Amino acid sequence: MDADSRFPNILLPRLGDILFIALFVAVIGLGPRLLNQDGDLGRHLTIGEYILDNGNIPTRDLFSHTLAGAALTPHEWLAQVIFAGANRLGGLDGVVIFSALLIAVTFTLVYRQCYQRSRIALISLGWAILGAATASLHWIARPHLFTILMAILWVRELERIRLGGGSRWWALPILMLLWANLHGGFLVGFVIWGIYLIRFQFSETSKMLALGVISALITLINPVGWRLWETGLGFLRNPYLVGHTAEYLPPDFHQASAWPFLVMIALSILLLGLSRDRKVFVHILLLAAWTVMGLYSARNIPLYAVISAPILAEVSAGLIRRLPFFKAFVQLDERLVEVDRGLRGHVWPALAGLAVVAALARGIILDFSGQGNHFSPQVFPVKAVDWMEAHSIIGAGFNYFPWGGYLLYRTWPEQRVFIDGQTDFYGEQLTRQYEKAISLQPGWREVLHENHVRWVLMPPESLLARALQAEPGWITLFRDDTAILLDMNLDYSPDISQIWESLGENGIQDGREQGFYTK
Amino acid sequence: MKTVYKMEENKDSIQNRWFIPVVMLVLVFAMAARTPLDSDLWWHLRAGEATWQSGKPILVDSFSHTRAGMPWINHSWLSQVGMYLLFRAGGSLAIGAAVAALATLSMGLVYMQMGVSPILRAFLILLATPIAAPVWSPRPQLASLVLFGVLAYLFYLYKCQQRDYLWVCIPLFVLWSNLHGGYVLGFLLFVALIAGEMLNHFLGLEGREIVPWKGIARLGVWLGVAWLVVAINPNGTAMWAIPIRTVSIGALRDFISEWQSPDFHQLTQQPFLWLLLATLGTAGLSRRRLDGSDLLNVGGFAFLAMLARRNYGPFAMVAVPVLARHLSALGLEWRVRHRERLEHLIPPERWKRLNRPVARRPGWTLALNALFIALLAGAAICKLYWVTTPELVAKYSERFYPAKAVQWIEANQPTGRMFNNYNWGGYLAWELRAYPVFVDGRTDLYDDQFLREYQQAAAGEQGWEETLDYYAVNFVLSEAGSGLDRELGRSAEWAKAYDDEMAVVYIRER
Repeated sequence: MDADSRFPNILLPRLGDILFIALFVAVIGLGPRLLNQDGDLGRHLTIGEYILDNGNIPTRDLFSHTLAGAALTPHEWLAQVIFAGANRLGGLDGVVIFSALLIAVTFTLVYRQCYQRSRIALISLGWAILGAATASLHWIARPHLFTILMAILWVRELERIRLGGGSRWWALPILMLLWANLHGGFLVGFVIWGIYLIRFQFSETSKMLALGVISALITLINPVGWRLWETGLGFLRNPYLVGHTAEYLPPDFHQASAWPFLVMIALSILLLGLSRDRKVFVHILLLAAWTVMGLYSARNIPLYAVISAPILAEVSAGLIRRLPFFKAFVQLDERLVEVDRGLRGHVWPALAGLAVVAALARGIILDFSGQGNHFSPQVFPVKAVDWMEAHSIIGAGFNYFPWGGYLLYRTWPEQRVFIDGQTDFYGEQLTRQYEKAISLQPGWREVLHENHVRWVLMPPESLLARALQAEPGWITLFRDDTAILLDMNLDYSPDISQIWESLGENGIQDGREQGFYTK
Repeated sequence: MKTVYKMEENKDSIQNRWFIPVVMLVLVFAMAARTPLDSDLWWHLRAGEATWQSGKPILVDSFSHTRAGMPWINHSWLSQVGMYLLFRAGGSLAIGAAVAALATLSMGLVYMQMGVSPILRAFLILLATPIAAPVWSPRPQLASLVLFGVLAYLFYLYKCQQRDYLWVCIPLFVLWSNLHGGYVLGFLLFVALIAGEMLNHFLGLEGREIVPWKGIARLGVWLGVAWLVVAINPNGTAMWAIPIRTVSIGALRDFISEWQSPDFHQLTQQPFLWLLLATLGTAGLSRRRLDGSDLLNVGGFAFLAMLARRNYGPFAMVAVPVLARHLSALGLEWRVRHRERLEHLIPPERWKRLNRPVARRPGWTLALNALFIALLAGAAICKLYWVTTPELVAKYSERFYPAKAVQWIEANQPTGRMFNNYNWGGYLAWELRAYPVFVDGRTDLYDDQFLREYQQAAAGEQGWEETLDYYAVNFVLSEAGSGLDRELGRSAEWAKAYDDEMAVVYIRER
């Protein structure tokens, strides 16, 4: 081959590279959504910063005043450090870039898995894109993005073992070591492993069992050892917490974001029904299991997408090869693959990444909404917290649950939260107390009093905010369309004294320490 | 492919032909026999009564003060008359019996389409019953389910047995459009069959059960005819818009659970998931190719069920026959694949001995079977009678409806317009006739904006005072402990006049 014909091969990207770039750019375009769809990012950045600053991983709570000092399971510490590092390098732009990188890598791997099983590139591309669309309802800048990536890597290794390639057996324990320190979703790996175990012949079962046991033991290499399992399983066993965590609820198919999932289920029924090829039992089991899990909890949908796409790619390829109608398509794809194999333009993904970094560094807004990568004042109490910082608000507060992470990000360590998104830590009791207060159930005032709440930060139209505004013991310090900040009215001292006196000597002392008697 | 373990047909075993299905139907009847309480039952009865007394369908609202005199597309007028006449003749017992009978009929229609062994059919029907059961309530919706089953059976005869009774669509759809607005399910079934058969041709499938192109064209014609005859009802062509109008009400999805997506955290909703999974699994594992019509039926109605739980019933009715066929095929494949192992376990000679015809004593067999069925039917009827006794109905009514508050209102006669809880609207329209309701279950009468205003007021959210002022409400019958109860309790303009563990009454003080 001469230099002239080599030249375009180096310049042209492969299909996988094009997919990577497309996904990367698309996720960059969704930057504000990644940051604002839920409130946990702030907490992760705060903890990550703490670890980077102090060099140790917190195993006791430092972030809330309600459970201060309680045992904390840092099951996402490694991901939190990585996200905090991205934040240090590039601010929230850095967080978005890193998240886009994770997602693009994940679905490029999905494409590769689809191609390995189907050997039809265009079909693989279609399934990878559909899988990405299905998973997109949970594209948030949070450690669970690592679980989606780990799941496809884990399945890839298990599939390799199933097909007889056992020389890379060490990959599973290493993956699990990383996974257990990146995100509590490592439990998913054992569910998948269990499904693969079912269909192994006896001679290989012992090897699979040994790998599973080693992987399980290796998860104990984390800051809290076996407590990692206790926390993860404990949360899942608590129906109240699971039922009150939005992402654990079933998908709402009235929302367009859930329709790609429906499309994948519909296609799976279509393909499995039409295909006459002998199906791999473990694949059917995986597909069925993750369909059920995706229907049970929306947060399982991205996992369904990465696990099902390669299976469905294989089934669809078998069907397409049998149908005469698609003969021309298959031939076109073969020619495309032949060309694709010869391309060497792998530099394009790196160039795209650098271009995005450069653009964001220069302040160019790349997201589709034109807002830029920051916490939105329409979603989070940005201006209210600006006011708090300017006026040195003291005392323990009561905050709206979805704003807990943001409050930590902005005001910790000066302020600690009442509650935030880490419901597995706060547990059922405090969550119920929080629910009682915000829905004004009997005893709601006691929740505030017993937790020494001095100020309240809630949406202005919330029941609690409206009730407190109507009470003489509270005054409004700040209000905008997003949030209202209410403070205890110290001029209304008779009630205040009674409140603290009713809590006894400790209550009065606490009140003095927290500045409740500074008037 | 030779199959050793095929059941020899036993000509004396007439029980396979009638005993099993009859037992199944009696069991379904027993399961469907329930206390007939539904929040919509009451306004249907009131409407049926008004229609019967006036001699013409009620097409203008007279039960509420918020929509008084406005046109009401009453698509269930014929069902309402039937419900009222049943209630007048036999009270809750008659209504309960009708619900159980219609539910049994709908499952019987599914049984007839399954084409596999009677035991497998009966087993699957009984498994499917919990999925369809939430729809078995004393409402015109049940009529839709039965007619859906009839249409599905007609299509089964057309496709699988080449027997053309499609002319029945004319009276079927005329009846349907006067019984309930759910006739659109019939259209969806039509579309699934037409598109499914076209898919079969596209895939190159051949066989007796593939409808030829001419047959598909005939289906298209009958679909057009069905669409036209739907207009033969008191509302005329306005009926065509009803399905679209109903599903476009966003408040339905937000506030009414049967219009929401499934919540599989609730155990009662998981049977739908297991049926979907079983269908997916058997279709995947079986080497029998999924027919295009089956595919679109299962996929299409599963999609509808994912959008709204009230579609569980139609899904179960189309999915179970498909599951049955693939499960039967899977069983056959398994027997063939494991033939050697089976022969090792049960030698063919022993199998033949087990399968030989039993000694001829048909008289005793018949008598025993009849006795068994009679006992079962007796138990089912006893259950029906017990769950519809006036005492039990009254007890359940008090649990769900503000019976005591209604008695207080009747005794104390507060003046002016009433604001009531949505779920109680039908009950109040029937029991408290002197007071037109604020809202009830006729969601296609009340638009999206009104229902959201109602919901905000009922929850005591911002703007509740303006809503009550706008509609000149003078007294409120609300759920005890609700947001509105809390707000009214704090308001100087309202005084609590009555309360019990279920309901509160506030009267505006002037």
